[in-house]
Amino acid sequence: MDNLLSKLKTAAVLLIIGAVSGLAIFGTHTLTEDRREENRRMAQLAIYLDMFDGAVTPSDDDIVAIEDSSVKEMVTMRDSSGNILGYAFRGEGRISHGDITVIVGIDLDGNIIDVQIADSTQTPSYVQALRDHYLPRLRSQSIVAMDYGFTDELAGTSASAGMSFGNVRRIIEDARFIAADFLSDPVMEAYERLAPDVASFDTFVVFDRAFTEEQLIKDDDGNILAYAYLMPLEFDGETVTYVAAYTETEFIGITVFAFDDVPQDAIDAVEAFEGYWNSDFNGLTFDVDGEIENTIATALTELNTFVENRTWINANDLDYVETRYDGDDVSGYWFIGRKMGYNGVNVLEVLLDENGAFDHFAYNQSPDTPDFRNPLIDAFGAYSGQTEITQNEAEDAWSGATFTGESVYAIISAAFQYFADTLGDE
Amino acid sequence: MSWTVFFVAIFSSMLINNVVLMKFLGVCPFLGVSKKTNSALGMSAAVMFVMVIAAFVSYLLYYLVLVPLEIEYVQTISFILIIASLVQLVEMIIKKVSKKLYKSLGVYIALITTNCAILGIAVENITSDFAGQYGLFPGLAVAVTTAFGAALGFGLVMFAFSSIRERLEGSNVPEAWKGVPVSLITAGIMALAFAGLGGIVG
Amino acid sequence: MSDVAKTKNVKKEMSRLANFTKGFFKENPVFVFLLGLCPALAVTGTVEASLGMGILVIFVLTSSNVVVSLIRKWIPHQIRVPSYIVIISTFVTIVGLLTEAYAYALHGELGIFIPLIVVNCLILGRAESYASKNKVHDAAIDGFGMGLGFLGALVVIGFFREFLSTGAIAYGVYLPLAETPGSIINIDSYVFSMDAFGQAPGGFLVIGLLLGIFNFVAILKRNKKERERQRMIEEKKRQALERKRQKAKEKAGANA
Repeated sequence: MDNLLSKLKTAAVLLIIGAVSGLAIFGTHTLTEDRREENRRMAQLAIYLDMFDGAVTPSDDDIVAIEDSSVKEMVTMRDSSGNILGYAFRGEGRISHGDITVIVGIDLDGNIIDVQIADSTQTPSYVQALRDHYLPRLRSQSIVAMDYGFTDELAGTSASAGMSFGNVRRIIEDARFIAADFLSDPVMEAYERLAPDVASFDTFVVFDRAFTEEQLIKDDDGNILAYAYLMPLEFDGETVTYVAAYTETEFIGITVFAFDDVPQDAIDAVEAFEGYWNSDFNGLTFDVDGEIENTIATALTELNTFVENRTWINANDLDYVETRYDGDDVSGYWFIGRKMGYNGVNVLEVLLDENGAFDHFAYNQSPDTPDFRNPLIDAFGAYSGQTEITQNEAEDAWSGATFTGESVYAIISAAFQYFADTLGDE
Repeated sequence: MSWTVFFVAIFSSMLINNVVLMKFLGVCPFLGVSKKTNSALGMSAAVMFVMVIAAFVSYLLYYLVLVPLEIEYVQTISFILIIASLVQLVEMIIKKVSKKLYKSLGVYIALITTNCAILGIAVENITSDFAGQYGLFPGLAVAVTTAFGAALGFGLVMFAFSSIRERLEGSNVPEAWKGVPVSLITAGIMALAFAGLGGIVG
Repeated sequence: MSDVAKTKNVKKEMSRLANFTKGFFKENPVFVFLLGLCPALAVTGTVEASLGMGILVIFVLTSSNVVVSLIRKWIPHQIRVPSYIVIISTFVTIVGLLTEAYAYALHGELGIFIPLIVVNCLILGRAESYASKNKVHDAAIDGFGMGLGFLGALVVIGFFREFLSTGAIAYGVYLPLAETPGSIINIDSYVFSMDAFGQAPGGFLVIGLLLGIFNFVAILKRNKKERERQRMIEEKKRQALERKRQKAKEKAGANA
C-alpha cells in the first residue's frame, strides 16, 4: 500500500511539474510570438533595406514569391511616401559544395545597386573571394549589358570557385530577366519586335566577325523561336548594337537595341530593311541607300553568307558546320560542337580542311579551368593534317582535364565522322 | 540526391566541423575521460551508440510529432527528455544483452545525458533542415549519417587526445601548467590543425 | 535584542555574503571547477556575446535554483534528476523565446548554444548539490553568485579573445545596448590582430593560458606564504634559542 502510494505520489509530482512547465512555455510562446515573427522578418528584410537608401519596411503585398526560377522572392522597395525605389531579389543556389543565398538590388534605371551574398554554406574562402573581388565589380552596371568579367580568373583558382560563381551568375541572370518585365529593357523590346513570344534568350556561339554573338530566342516552354545575331557597329565613336534574326529557313528581320545613348538616325536606319523581313535567306542581297544603311547592309551580307553556308547537324554533339569558300572552291569546314567538360558545357570550334584533314580546334566558350584546357590546344595541334586521331597519353596527362580532353576528342572525332559520312561524298 | 551527400556528410561532420574541436560540443568528457586511451575509446563507443539513436529518434519526433502539432518551440525540452530516457533504455538493454559490454561501457553511458554533443547534434540536424533539402526520409538518412560522422570525429579526437595526454604525463611540464591547462593548450593546437581542413567541402 | 542574537545575525550576514561571493574566485565554476566549458569555449569570441550568455545563464541558474529549492521537499529522491532537467529546460526554453523576441542578434549569435544551456553541468550541478538541500533565499543567492562568477569568467575569456583577434572591444552588436554599435577599446590597428583567437583554436588556447596563469599566481602566492611561514618558524626558533641562551647566561651568572 505504501509502495503504491509513493508511486502515485511520484507520478503526481512528475505530472504537475510537466503541466506547470508546459503552461509556462506555452505562455511565453504565446506572449512573444508576434515579436519573434517580426524579428525574423526584419532580419530577412534588413539586407534589402540596407541596399536601398530611404526605403521603408515593405508591406506583404510588395513581397512576391517566385516559382520555377533560381530567384525565390521579389520585393518592391518603396520610400516612406510610397514611391517605388527599385526591386530587390532573393535568389538561392545549390551545388554539391553547399547552398548560397544571394540578394540582388536593381534600381528603376535598370542598374544593379548591389549584389550581396546573404548566406552561404559553400566553401568559405571562395565565397569570400567572390565577396571581395567579384561582387563589387557588378555594382552600378546596367542589367541590359552586364559585363561579368574575369570568369576565367576566378574559375581558374578552382572548380569549386567556378561553381559558386556560376550560382551567383545564374541568380543575377534570373533577377535581371524578371526585372526586365518591370523596367524598360531595350534588349527584350528588340527581341519582342523580332519574335513576339520571346521569353528568354541564351548565348549559343560567339564569333569574331561582323557579328559577335549568336543567341537562341526561346518561348515560355523553351522552344527555339529564332537565332539572333548581334552586330555591334560603330558610328561617330558610339557603338550601336543591331540584331538580326533568322529561322532555319528564313531571314526574320533586323532591329536595334535602342538604348538611351543611341542616336535616332541609327535607330531609324533599320526601317530601310523592312522590305526584306520574313524572306528566304538564300541568295538574299540588300539594296539600300545611305551611309549608315550601307554599313549595316555590309555586315548583314556577311551574316547572311554565313547563314547560307551553314548546315545544321544537331547530332553527335555537333550543332552545325559552316562550309568555307575560297572564291568558288571549298577551303574548309568549320564545325561547332558542344559537350560536357569538367566544369560545364564546352563549346568547341573544329576546323577541317577541304580534304577532311584536321586543321585546329579552339574553345568558343568554356567554363573549364584555363590551366587544364589550354594545353590541349597544343597537344591536339600535333594532329594537324591527319584524318583520324587516337586518344593518347599526351591528352590524358592534362586530365584534371580528362573530361575536357574527352570532350575535345569526341567533338573532333564527330567532325571526322560527319565529313566521312556526308561531306566527303559531295 | 546522390550518394556523395552521405560521403560529404560523414567527412564534414567528422573532420571539418569536428564536434569537439570546431563546435566545442562534448568538451566535458573530452577533458574528463581522456586520461587513458582505453577509457577514451569506451566513452567514444558509448557516445556513438547513443548519438546515432538519439539523432534518429529526435528527427522523427520533430517531424512526425512536433511539426504536425505546431509546437516546435518545445524542441529543447522534448529532445533532452528523449535523450535522458534513451540513455536509461540503452543502459538497461546493454545490461540485459551483454554483461561484458555493460562492464566496459556502463560507467560512460550514465555520463552521456549531460554530454552536450548528443543534444547539440540532435538540434543541429533540425537546424540544418535536411528534411527541406532532401525530403523527410532521405533527410533522416542524412541526419543519421551526420550523427555517425560526428561520433566518429569525437572518437578520433578522443583517441588522439588521450594518446597525447598519456605521453604528456611523462614529460616535464611547468608546475602551473600541469594537468588541465596544458591539456587545453594541446587541444588548441589540435584545433589549429583541424582548422586547416576547413574548405575541403562546404 | 540580546548580544548573542546580534552576533549570530552578523555571522549569518557574513555567511550570506560569503555564499554570494564564493563563485567569483574561490569556487569559480569555469576556472576552478571547469564546469560549463562548452559555452565558455564556444560563445566567448567577443565580450558582448560572453556577456549575453552569462546573463542567460544567471537567469536560468537563479530561477532553477529557486524552483528546485521551493519544491525540494516534494520531489521523490529517485526522480529528482529528471525533474531538475524538466525545470531547467523549461527555463532555457523560456529564455530562448525571450531572447528571440528582445535580443534577436544575440539569439542568432548564440544559436545552438541556447538550447545547450540545458546540459551545462553548472546548472544541474548547483540544483543537485546546493538548491536541493538549502532554503529558497540561500539557493537564490547561490545561483546569482555562481552565475555572476560564470559571467565574469566568460567576459574575461571573451575580452582576451576579442582583443587578440580584432584589436578592439565592440559593444551594441548583439545586446540592445546602443542604437549603433561602437567600441570601448579600439587600437585601430589590425596589424597585431590574430584571427585564430576569435575562432575555435583560440578558445582552447586562451582558457588554457589563463588557467595556467591563474595557477602560476596561486603557486607564487603559496610559495610566498610558505616562505613567510618558514621565516616565522625560523624567527621563533631563533627567539627560543635566544631565550635559552639568556636563561643559560642568567643561570651561569647566578651560579657565579
